[in-house]
Amino acid sequence: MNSSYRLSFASIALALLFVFTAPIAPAQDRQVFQGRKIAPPNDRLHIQTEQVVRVTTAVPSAQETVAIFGANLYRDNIQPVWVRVENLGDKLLFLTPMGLDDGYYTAREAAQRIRRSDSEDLRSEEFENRGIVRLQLPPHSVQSGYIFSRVDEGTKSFNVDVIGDSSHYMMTFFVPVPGLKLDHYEVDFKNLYPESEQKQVDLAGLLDELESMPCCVRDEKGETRGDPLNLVFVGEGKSMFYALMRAGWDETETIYGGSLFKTAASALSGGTYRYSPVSALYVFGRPQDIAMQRARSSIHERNHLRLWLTPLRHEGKPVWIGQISRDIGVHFTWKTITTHKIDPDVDETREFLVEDLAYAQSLSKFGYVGGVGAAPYDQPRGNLTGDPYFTDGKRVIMWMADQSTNISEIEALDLSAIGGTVIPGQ
Amino acid sequence: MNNLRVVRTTISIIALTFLAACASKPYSPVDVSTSSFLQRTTTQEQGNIRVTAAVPSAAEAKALTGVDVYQQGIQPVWLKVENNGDQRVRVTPWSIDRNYFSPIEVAYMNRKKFSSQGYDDMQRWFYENRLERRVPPGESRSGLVYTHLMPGTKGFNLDLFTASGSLNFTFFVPMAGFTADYKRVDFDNLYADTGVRELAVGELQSVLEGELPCCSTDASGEKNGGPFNVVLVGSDVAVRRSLLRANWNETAANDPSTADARLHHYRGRPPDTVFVQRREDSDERLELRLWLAPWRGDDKRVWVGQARFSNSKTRLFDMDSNFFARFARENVGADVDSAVNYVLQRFWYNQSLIKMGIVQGAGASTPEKPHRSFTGAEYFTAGYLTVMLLSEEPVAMDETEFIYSQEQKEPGDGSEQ
Repeated sequence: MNSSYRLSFASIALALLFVFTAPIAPAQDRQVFQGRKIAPPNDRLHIQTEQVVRVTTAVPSAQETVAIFGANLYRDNIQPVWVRVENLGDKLLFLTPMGLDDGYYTAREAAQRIRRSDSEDLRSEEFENRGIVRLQLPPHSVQSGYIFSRVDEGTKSFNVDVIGDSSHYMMTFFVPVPGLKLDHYEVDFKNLYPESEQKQVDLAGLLDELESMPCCVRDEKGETRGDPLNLVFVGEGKSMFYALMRAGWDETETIYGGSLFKTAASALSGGTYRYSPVSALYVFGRPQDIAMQRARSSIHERNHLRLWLTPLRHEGKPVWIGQISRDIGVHFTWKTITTHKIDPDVDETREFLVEDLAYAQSLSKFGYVGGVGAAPYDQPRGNLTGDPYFTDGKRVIMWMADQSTNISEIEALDLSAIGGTVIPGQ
Repeated sequence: MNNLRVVRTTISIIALTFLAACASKPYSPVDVSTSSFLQRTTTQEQGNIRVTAAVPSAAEAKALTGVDVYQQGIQPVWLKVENNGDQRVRVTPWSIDRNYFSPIEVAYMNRKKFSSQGYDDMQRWFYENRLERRVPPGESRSGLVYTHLMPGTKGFNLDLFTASGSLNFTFFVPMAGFTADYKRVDFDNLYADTGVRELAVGELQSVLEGELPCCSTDASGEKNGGPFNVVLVGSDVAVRRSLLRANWNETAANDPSTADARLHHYRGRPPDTVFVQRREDSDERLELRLWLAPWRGDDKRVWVGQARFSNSKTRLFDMDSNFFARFARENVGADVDSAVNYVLQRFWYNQSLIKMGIVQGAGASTPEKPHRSFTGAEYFTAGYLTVMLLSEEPVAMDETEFIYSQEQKEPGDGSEQ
């Protein structure tokens, strides 16, 4: 994304120097809780500034964690994220690691996990010295250290939240870690639609255009119709990513035709961490621009979300269309060997997403429009893997909030008077 | 060769017969309205909205759904929403359980037990008996929501939305065979002798710093236990609702996993209540011990407490695999401040924190020179008390107000030098 860019001031030599010196320094030379400066794990730094807060992040690869911590942390489902926060203002702020991962490990918990599976004599102090152990960011101070998050596949996408007195600074980072490619990095969003093809629309125009958008995803050849396109986002990619990640969604890799076996093989050899690529579905003649997933109670139960940028712009913001499905099990197909069985009640899954984002304090308003076409329970339609689904035929339009919005402030719009629709009691 | 073939064929036939027997079961739908658990409903009303809740026991849920859902970690909750107002109402299953199971998901999980027609019938039953999200004015809807099984009393929040805002309900449905620890405490008479002092929240700082002891004690009151590190202030509803939103589970007074926690005393009594929180992908659970304090802040009850990590595995195994963990230098539980950080953030991220402040508490100790509790457990801390004011209404993260002086120059704030 625009706001995050690479900085390459650190030379390879410096990085190597750090890699070889840091882990060997004797433990007794460092004191837990003493002010200290933790060097970044590599030269792939990402920086963002939001008013009085400047955040720099970097994510070491599995190999790099061996050099820094003396063990491969990834093997124990730990992905350390290096975070440096500068509080440039006059007020106390808090860095809340839960924004990065709501199940993050404390420094010594990370040490203990490693010790259990590794015979090496790793000490908590080694981790505490390098970890973020205090949330407070005093005025005009700089803090740096690692947050021990759970492993995400490939590109590490995460939010960094800094909270102050009646204020909240939200930042989203995408830090590629060697090994995986993500759709949204492959897409040149700026040039996807030349100026001449972009359409500025008012609310009535938006509803009109959305009604006539394709009902469903298609296969690669564009011949067979699949899952319904039943959700729409209005918002900058940045706010959309922040919101989804806040609600526990992760970006995921896509399987493209021939790469199926390669991907499966890499998943097998990739170690023990969670890994579940999704298949490509097509709209506007191209595969999804963004694929995301949210694990529920177990890692085998996931919801999948695919999004495409449309040529529409509303209130100065891009408009996205998408599809969501809830995996409720695995079944076998001739076409793709195994596939996830999706919940045929696709409206249920759609409404779950509305609530998921509302509770992440990320929606300002929502409403409904037609376009999918109704299919009742007893006359379901089929998706690309032959699973039936039924629906009321509506699309939900969600406006992303630019700042935290509590659930009581979200507006439920009745769009029926201007070409939209309403679900009784929406 | 021949023998092998016979054996193989026999096994196949047995297996096929077995499979066929399993999969030929029809599904016998049950009329929910005739279920016995509906005789134990609780009802709450706000404005023109009336909500009734009931939770079937394991056996009742099996009789109702035809499958042993408790065995699968699923606890159905039955709800009836009566909308006597003139606005549409939206029900949010997410507010009950953010990872709820969809009705057809539960059916699909159990498909193998039934014949093909049996599965179709089951799927339809689960679909038709779901709780619909939308309740038009003047109408009512009832149905089942499939939540994660919770030990003990089934506590859950339910948020409803209308065009003019949200209505927030909190339910506690007692389950047979379980009594939460706080049910045994007579809170109204705890301080009948000494009285309860009314304070403004602003005055609470000096009272906490001057009058709250550093630590809990043993039963005799002679030896120090763990440090007090959190203070909760809020109406009873706000505190219960916030704990639920933040995913805390209540415990029974005789729960063996909380036996150690109950050795700690304040004013001569063990914790009035102990809440625990299991964490995904971790063996370390969080423990929150709370005592009602003899003060009220802005007319709300004040709770003093101890937050810490405790390993959820049995000690026997823990000792073997994790020798170092017994010492303050390595023990996850010894780092009590990290537990407070978790508690604080959970409230923050779950829209419950209206105000927060940090005051002087137990005083500092370090991993090299830890303090020791009468139980022998060592701990270290920067020594502060985190005061959290909890709200009944949802609060966005940027609406939290900081109170008390925040000028801390604690050692180990982790600043770069």
